[in-house]
Amino acid sequence: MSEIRVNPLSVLTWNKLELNYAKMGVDAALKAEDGPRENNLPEGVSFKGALDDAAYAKWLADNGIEYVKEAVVAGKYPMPEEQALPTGMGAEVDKLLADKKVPAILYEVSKTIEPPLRFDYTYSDGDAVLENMIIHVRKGCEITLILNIGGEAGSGYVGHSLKLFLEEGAKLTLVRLQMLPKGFQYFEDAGARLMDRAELKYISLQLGSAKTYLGACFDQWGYESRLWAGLGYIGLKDSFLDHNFVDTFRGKKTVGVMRFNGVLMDNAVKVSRETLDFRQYCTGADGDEEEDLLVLGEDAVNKANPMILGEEEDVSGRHAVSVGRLSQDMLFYMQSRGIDEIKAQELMVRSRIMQLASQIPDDELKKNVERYLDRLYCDRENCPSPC
Amino acid sequence: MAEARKDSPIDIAEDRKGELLADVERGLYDFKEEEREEDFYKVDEGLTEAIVRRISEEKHDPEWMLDFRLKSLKIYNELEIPDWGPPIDGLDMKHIVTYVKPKTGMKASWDEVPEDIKNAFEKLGIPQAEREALAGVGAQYDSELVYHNVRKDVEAQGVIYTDMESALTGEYEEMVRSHFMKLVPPTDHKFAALHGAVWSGGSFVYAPPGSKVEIPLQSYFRLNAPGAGQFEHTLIIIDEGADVHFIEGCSAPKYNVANLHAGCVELFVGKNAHLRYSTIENWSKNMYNLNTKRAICEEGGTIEWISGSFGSHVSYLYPTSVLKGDHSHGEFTGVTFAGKGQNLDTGAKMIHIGKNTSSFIDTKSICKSGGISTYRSSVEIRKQAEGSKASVNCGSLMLDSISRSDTVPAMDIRTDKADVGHEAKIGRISDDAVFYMMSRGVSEAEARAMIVSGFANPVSKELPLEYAAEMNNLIKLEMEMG
Amino acid sequence: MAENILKIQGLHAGIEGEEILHGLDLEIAAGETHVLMGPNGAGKSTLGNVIMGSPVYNVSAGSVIFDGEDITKDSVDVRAKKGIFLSFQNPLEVPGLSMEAFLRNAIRERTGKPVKVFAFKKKIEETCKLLDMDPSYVERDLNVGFSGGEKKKAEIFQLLILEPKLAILDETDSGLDVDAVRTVSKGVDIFKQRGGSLLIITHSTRILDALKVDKTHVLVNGKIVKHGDASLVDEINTGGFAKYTEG
Repeated sequence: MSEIRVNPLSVLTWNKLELNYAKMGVDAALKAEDGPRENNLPEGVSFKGALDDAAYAKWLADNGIEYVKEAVVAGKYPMPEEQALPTGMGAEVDKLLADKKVPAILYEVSKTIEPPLRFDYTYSDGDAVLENMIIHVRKGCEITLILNIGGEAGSGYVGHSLKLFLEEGAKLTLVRLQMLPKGFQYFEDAGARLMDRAELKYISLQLGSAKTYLGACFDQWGYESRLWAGLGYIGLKDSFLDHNFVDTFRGKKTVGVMRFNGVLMDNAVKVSRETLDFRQYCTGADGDEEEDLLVLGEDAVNKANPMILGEEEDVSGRHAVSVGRLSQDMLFYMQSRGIDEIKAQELMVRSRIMQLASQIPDDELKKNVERYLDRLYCDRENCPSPC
Repeated sequence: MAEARKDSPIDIAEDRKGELLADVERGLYDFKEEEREEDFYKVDEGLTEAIVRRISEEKHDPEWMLDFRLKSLKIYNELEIPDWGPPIDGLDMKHIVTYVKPKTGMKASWDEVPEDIKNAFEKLGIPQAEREALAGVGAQYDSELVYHNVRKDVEAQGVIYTDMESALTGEYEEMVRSHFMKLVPPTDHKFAALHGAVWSGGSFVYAPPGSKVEIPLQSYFRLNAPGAGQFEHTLIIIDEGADVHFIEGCSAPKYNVANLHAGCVELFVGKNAHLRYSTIENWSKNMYNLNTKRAICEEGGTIEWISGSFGSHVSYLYPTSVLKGDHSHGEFTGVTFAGKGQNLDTGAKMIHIGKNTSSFIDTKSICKSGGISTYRSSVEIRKQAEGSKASVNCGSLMLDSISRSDTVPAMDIRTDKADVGHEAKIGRISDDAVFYMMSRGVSEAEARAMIVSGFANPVSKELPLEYAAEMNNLIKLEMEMG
Repeated sequence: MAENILKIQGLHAGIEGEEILHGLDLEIAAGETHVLMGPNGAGKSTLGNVIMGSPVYNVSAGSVIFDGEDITKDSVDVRAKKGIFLSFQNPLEVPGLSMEAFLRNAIRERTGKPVKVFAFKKKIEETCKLLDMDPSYVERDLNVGFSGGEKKKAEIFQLLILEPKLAILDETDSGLDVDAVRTVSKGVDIFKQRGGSLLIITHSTRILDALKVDKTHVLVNGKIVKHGDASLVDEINTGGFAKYTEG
């Protein structure tokens, strides 16, 4: 496997910490996802074509999305990578898509669609697939889109890149549920631009693949645009997860909330970068980010770098991290109701994931997640109550 | 759609020309004593083996120290400058004078100190502070200590407080040799290597088991020569059960050429010992402050850092606590105020190695008039550090929107048996608070200054009264500037 | 059932390096309602926590016998399964876990059997009705965003669902609105009617008004200095603890 550099930190720090970026292996056999793109689309959602590089550039230009050379660079901070629509994983993923000639599948939403739209991706052993998708939500339109990613036992490599463009007043709820088998490597990139009063709710649940890279960059250009982003994951034995979430506040009175709920078991490794980036003139912006990590594995490794970058005085930004075992107080409370330690752990794992899963507007998928959680503890030793 | 963005609040080119620096007024710290060439001995500008040998010779180093210096020089030449922090392009080592020796020996009586140097310190209130509140004082002028005095009752406990040069050649040579740059090896980074090559001056403290120095020991560093570097070394060894508070103050007048401070502080805190290390740093705004401070704690030991960073053009400063012994404890309380033309990259590092170790970081960053303030930290909890607790709390206050404030707190946690909490906030002075205070008859400027002082209160309340007053005075000066 | 549901003998307990309870004796007969009163810092909450087995406190001497069994060394969940319930002054919040799911799990843990969905739902509904609580309450995340009064009500709700033998209510009526006090009193009353034993730890007496109290104990400086009947409550209401704290 060759390697590319992904998940760059917005502001560099000590190299020794190995947090400035991640190196991700790339399978030489990767190719574009194929299959029908127009089936079962509701009225108001249209497939606008598979864009090659030139067509993607034109789409960007038509929508006024262009690369902004950032003038504000304090010290030797690296220039943001050259992406017109920046993504969390960075420019090298875009380059990978171009190298592998993976077209961008463009969907346009031109009506408010009530029932959630769901795309199922089911992968098989040996697959090495890249998906590249653009969701363009037109002015004032609303939609819920669920990407359900799973597969049969085996191994493979799956990468999903997603670009989101929300015009004025558009609302998008996007769910990415990944339940691939352990043998798969997975990456999931996202870049979103939110215009005036646009609202994005972004939920990513990672319950599969033992090697996972995630990136998301939310560029809040629009006045009063709002973001709510949540990531939930469970790191099992021998798993690795690396993520980079960036919320960039540019418009006035923008609001961004990010929640990270994680669990690390056994020797799971997690590296995370969470950034609230307040750009000059984003007066009245409000950013709030929280990481809640439950560490249940003796050999687990947890690296994090939650940053707040500020160029604008009139903002309010906060981030909070809580990392550790099940707290003694919580354990005492649970036990006082007759719940033993293992069960209490299970409930706390469940709580962290269900906080996000309960927001998936799809009962079947919600049940899948619950079943996954049931199995998780039943497969472990000392299950106190076989299900 | 892509609107043109305003230019950078900090134009690096501008401050190279020195224009930006020229209009910064720093009140009482900015006086300079005219130095007559014949009163001082300087080595040539730049850094060569010949210069390092000359410094060593001038200082009558023992042989091993000369070797150490030459080894460090070699390492210096091999290491790259850091690629992650504020720019230090303005610092040209070819033009830094690494050694400036006042032509006076070290005095134990204030009256014997030459008049011009005495004037400089008198203006800073040094001997006065000693009379009032200090157990011992050392004063360094450029590269050498010019004055040193310790109170009798402190001496009687067997506490040694002397200049590094005396320690190096006296009865403590072995102790110095076995500790000197063992905690901060020259290989640590380029400026640690530089320090190893050209260090001069600084203090040595040894507190024997059980000794308690109830009033602080103090060192004051003054860099008066233009275009010079100061490379003092502070080595403090606190033996089992002892308790010491050490204060350092730093200042320099402003010049339109770059000055460099690359000091090194090594603190060894013994079993159940306690050391508080306080710093009020107010270097002039042409200073590159690339300082390295590190402490190691044995079982049950406590290190407390109190740090106020106000001066310098560029700072890289991250006092590190190595919590090696079980149940050892590290605390860092700091405030950084970056005004016009300043890029201050400050923070702390905590390394948990022993079991049941705990650390606590509480910092406040303030930026104003285009200043850049970066809070940078790392908390490392090693696998064996079971039962450890770490807490990081950082606040940023931005006083306008041409300044910049970044918070870059990294964590690396390798055990499940640890509890780590982190909280950071960024914000501005609330209009409501200003309005409230004005409604009680306080002017707006005063209200804002009071709010900023209040924000920095966690640091000032940890300082002895005179230093807290000095810090509040610095905040007031900064608020009135620019 | 043993004659005494709870028997505490010569109990010494405290936190690291500091003893709080200095040789405490207490007996509660099955079905009785006892009140433990005492000034601030007397060790009242410590006693409740020690009976529940909180790991914060060490027991250095003495024993706690519950329903004829020595439970001094039992873990917290084992005690709970045997039938002890402690209401928390600050019950913990668990986002993502509904109260219903929490209770279902707790019952499954107690019985070791899966919970019968229909019966469980019915019990929840009935209990809501008994306490005059909105059923939507149980679907909310456990204690998340609950007001002080709601948290107390939720604790009483749990008490009625879990059906322990002994309930220790720790200052259950402190700082509550009238509505919450009513719910708590009602719940406690139902629990009592069902044959439950109670130890109510308090320094005020609002929920006691409607309740038949069998015995009252006064705890001062880690020791019970006075055992009495219900009239002791009134006596303390008028005279305070001064009489017991002097000398």
